[in-house]
Amino acid sequence: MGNLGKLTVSTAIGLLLGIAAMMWIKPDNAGGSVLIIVVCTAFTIIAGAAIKAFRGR
Amino acid sequence: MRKFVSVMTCCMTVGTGALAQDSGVFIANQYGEEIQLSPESVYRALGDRRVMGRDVIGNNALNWNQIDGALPGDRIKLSITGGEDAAVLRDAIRAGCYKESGDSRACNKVGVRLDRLIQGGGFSSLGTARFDRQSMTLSPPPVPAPLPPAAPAPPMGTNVIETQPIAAPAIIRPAPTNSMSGSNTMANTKAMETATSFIVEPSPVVMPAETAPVAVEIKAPQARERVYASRLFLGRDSFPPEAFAAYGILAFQTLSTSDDAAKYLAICEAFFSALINSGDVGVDVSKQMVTVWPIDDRKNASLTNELNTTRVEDGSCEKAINYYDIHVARDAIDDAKDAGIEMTGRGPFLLAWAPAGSKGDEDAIVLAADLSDVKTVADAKDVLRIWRDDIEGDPTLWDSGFSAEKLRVKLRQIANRYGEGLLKFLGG
Repeated sequence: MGNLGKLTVSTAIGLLLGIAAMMWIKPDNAGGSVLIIVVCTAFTIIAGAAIKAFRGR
Repeated sequence: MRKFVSVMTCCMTVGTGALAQDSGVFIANQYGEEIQLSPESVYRALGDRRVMGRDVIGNNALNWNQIDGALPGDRIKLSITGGEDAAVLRDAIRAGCYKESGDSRACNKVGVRLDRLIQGGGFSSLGTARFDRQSMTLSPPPVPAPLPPAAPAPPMGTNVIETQPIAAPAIIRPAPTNSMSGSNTMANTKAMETATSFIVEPSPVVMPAETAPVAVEIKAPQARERVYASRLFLGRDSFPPEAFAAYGILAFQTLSTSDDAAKYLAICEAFFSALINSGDVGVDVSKQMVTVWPIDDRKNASLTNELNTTRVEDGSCEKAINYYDIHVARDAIDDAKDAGIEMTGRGPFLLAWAPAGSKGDEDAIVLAADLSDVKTVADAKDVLRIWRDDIEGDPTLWDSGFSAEKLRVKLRQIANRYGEGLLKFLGG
């Protein structure tokens, strides 16, 4: 799987995680929902990159 | 392709609310157009209580725009034509509750806010809604299945004690409508406790006072008496309220200013909503853990009596804020700091001591909550709900540690606080 494929997988996992977190946290406004999804997506992309870097050593 | 179009059509039908049920409640919006409220809006405006997860709290919504920003900012009033309308309206409210919460058991106990009804019918454009019984197509939520039978009593180490009455002078007995029959076991008692704590009812399951007290077998290790969280506006000379099992205080660091008045108002309204007035709890004060809003009543001795009401009234919170006793609050904050509680936020803080007389002791058990991030009534209600659950728990287990619910509320506050800014940044 190439880099683009891994990025797509990380993004998809982040989106799903974000939606799950949004349903649990239940923010009061749309901005809160967007923030949660953005943060979760960013987190999984960074985590994916970190895992790739460790495995590549 | 045809299948895709069919699925999309179904989704759009559901999404646009084409299958929505009619509540029969009409109101003129800001442009003078008459619109029909959704069942959920009717429930949020006119239900006498709100079901939120496992909690049931009083409904203190004052204006229509608190229910929906598109509605007028007038006081919530509904014009009905007679008693039959009220009964039908109650079904609409319960249906709205069920649609919102999905809890048929709790929703079947929701009633109508009678103080918001105007008899006589008619329709006014001044924010008064009207109810058209013929237009309503809702049905009440399904009746829940009865509770499962109680487990048999454990054979070992039991004591015989008398139950504590919930609403003096009446005595608690098992409700005749459910299936908790047989011996009065610990399981029965726990089930009744769960039921009474789950639904905050003005008249819990009671029997006439002349009935003899019921003996209940209870396991000795679990015989801890239940305590009830309540609220009280208290004058300066009444501190500390030592008659209570424990007491807490809502302590602001400073008096309100024009800049932060909205926050003070939100916390005050949540204080009214999330905690029950001490006089309405129905148990002796020695079984109450009261949270106090200190009032400087030196110039108005009757002010505390005016504020200690079941529901928030017009001007109550303005008075409570204007006459807030900052002197008592600062004392409480200093005492909590002496007991080792770290308070680095701007506050306000919720502080509690158990027992009440231990306030000021360096080794006192203190429960503390920080409301620095509270901005809205909903935020304040969340914090006060956790506060109520905490102080109704075992005081010896009080701590300020981690819990999933605390984490969820904190994350929600952060998301609400910074989310709007992100949306604006993204151009939304």
